[in-house]
Amino acid sequence: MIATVLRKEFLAVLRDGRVLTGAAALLALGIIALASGAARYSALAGERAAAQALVAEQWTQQGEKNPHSAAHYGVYAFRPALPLSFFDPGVVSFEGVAIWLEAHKRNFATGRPADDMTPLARFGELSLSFVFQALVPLALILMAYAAFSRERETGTLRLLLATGVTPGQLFIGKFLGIFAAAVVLLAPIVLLALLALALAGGTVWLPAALLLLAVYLLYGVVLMLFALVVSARASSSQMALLILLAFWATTTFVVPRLAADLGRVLAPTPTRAAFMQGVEEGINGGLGGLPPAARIAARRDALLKIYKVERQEDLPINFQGVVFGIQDEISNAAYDQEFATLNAAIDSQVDILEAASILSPRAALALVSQELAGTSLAHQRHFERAAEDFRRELMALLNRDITVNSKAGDTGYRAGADLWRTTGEFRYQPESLHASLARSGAPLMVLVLWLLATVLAVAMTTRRLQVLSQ
Amino acid sequence: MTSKLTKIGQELQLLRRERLAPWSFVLLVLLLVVAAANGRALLAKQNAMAAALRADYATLVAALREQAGRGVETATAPGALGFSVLANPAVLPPASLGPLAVGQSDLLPAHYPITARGAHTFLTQQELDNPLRLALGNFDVAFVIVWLLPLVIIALSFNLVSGERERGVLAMSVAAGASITDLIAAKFAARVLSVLAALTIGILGAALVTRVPIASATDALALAGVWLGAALYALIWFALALWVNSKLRNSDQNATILAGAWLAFVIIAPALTNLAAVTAFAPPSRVTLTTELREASEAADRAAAADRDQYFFDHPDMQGGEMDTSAYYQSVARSEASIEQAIMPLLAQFDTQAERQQRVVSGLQYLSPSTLTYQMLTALTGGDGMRHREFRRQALLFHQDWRAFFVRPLERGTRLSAADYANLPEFAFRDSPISHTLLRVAPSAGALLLVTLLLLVSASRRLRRLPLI
Repeated sequence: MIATVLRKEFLAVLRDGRVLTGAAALLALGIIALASGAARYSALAGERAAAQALVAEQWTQQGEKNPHSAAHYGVYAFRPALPLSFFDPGVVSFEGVAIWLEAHKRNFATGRPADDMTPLARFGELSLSFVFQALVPLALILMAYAAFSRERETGTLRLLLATGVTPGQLFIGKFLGIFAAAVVLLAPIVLLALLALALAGGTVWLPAALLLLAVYLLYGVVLMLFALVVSARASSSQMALLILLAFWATTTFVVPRLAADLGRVLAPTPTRAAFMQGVEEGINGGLGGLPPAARIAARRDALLKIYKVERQEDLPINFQGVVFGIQDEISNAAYDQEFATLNAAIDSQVDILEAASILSPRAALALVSQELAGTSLAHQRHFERAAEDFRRELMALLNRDITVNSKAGDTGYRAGADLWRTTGEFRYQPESLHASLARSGAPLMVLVLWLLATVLAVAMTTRRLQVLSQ
Repeated sequence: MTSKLTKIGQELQLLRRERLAPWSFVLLVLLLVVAAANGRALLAKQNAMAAALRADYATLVAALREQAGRGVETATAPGALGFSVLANPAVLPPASLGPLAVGQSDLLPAHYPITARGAHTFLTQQELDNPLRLALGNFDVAFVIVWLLPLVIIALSFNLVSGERERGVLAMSVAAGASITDLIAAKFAARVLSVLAALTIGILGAALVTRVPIASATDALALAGVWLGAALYALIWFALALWVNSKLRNSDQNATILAGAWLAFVIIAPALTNLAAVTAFAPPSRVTLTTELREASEAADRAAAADRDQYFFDHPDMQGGEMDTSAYYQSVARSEASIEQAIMPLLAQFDTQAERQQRVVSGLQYLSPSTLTYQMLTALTGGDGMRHREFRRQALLFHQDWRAFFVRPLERGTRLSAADYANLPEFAFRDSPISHTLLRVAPSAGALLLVTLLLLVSASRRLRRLPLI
């Protein structure tokens, strides 16, 4: 029985001219999104890898210098472009891609791609994820809104049920039929995207891509069930369509924006000026209530005691290197604190968005999608943390060289390529899929809740299916 | 005439009794006001930031002036002051209508810390924000108008004619001796008038919530422009709905077509326009800018090292000590100038490409009423990037004055006195006159009006020959 309904719905959808036109338009948009995304990815990936190599070369060939001059020269960390960013660019357009790793300062990532786009970019970038999060659901709605209401309006629903098919079987058959048709229509673009991914990144990203596919399928199922329930309960096809369109616009665009803006009002990020002032105060205040000068003096006294000498000049090491180290400890702590404040504000904003995703499965889907594609806030933060850890190690190494290999007051001390080579290159290792998944718990839960709620709604709807139109 | 007015009045009464219509008007007004309240929070933050920056600067200057009076060395040394101590925040005051259409203004920096160092040091700075929020977009009045208003209009009028036909009302009215065109015209007018009324109340409410100083002629004109833009946008969607109805399909088909039009105009056209502009005139690489900046800094460092060697060659007595600060900062000034010279042409390339992209957008915007309206609204509220571009231009000019103020005495080898602090250059942003903006958006408004009229004429021609069932 289910199979008959399934086959009928499947063929009906595939024979509908409007559906085919819509599918063709979606395919064209998908291909444009895929092509532009892939082109951008390969350009960025090549450019950043080349820049990272160039920076490494500049570093080793910077000539003879005092290590502290080299520390001020510093290196750059470039965030590598990840293959799945062509599918879901996430927040990367609004994040800097390069961080200058220099002495005393933790710099912000600079070079946001969004700064170089037209104002229309704020309408939303045309990416594959956008096609699948916003446009495909609309297509699903248009395919499903009349599934029950039309049968009721034309009187065929009554005839159908008279043949002995139960409302539940009818529902399952319609769901499977329409969903299968949608899958068939969307298969080309999914296969193309998988092919592009394989060409770009081999099989490394395949598990993430398959998980993405599963999550998007889950979203599709939720939406299709919801659309069918509305179709079965609405007073007319027209009403079903209006309700579904309103639902789509609200959950896809209104709730995410409203929640994000609400987040800004409730948990504003500090301004850059306040941030920098905080850093300055932190540095001047010193660590653990001990002003910088006192801390330096205490360390000097300790060293004088250890080396059993009276004066700083008699130390077998260059105390200046130790001072740089202490200054770095203090400034690192100051930056950590301000970044923690900034990140806490952003986290609160994301929490608000996550909470709001209960009203908008699309918001939940977007959050999971960014995580799995490696383009979320958390992934950027991981990169920035890795760059900062590298900077701190680099500075510690240079300070140690000054301490050990030069004498007090010896401003003429120079190190060369031997030292520069020992510092190593910055190579960023993206986070594992496991970490991405661990962070996606809450939004995944929201999607599962939506699934449970729609299944419940299906059960309730099929138990008392209205057969005649009012 | 009076009978037509009566009909419109009757239709308004009917509209009021429909379940959907009154709620959608309330919703529209509510959304506009919520969006404005939201924007007000942003405006308050921007104002607070600007005030804090100015206050910090004033405190610092007062302290330095007092120190200079006592002859404290750092407060009188032009090099140290200009290059290390003093930064004058050039602030772009938030536009009073800014919160209504945020546009690019949450992305572009609203202040530049101007020092005697090169312009590259401040031009590439950005304000801190939540990137996820930036990526999702703002919930501002422009969003409600450009994205949501058409949905309300579609919901109200997708079955304007088809619904009546399907219910057999048209045939009945004719049988009762009524004119069909009058009936449709009255239904249409009732809907247009209600939406325009809701829009007017909503925009006035938004202006009240954000406390737009309507008493100022400039802001009143800009607000009127926003209202006019929104009204024209509403009209074109009504005209489109009527036109689609005049094709005599059934209500479902009308709804699908109008939803498709919404998708095409609001989502796809702007995205493709942006893509076309960015593809045709790809921005220069920020990564290259970074590596070039590094090369230029390294070259400047080598030159500075040479300066230093020369200094100690000229002053053998100073060997093993530090350069005197004046010589040191003269060297810094040369480094900064040379880095700036190397980097500014690269930064200029970004501007050139951005202008070319803008030209593509200006051409392609006519493909979608939504793009046109968004551009129009952001232009009127100063969120379209033009106001910021003007700010940057003025800030760069100011930067030259500011730098000269310190570099001249540095080169002459003179010191600053407490009295000189009174002559520190001050930055005050001058907005371009509103007439320029109005002229800039006039063609867009004209295009919206023209297409609306064409759609209405075509629809009314068809509707005169309307079959009754």
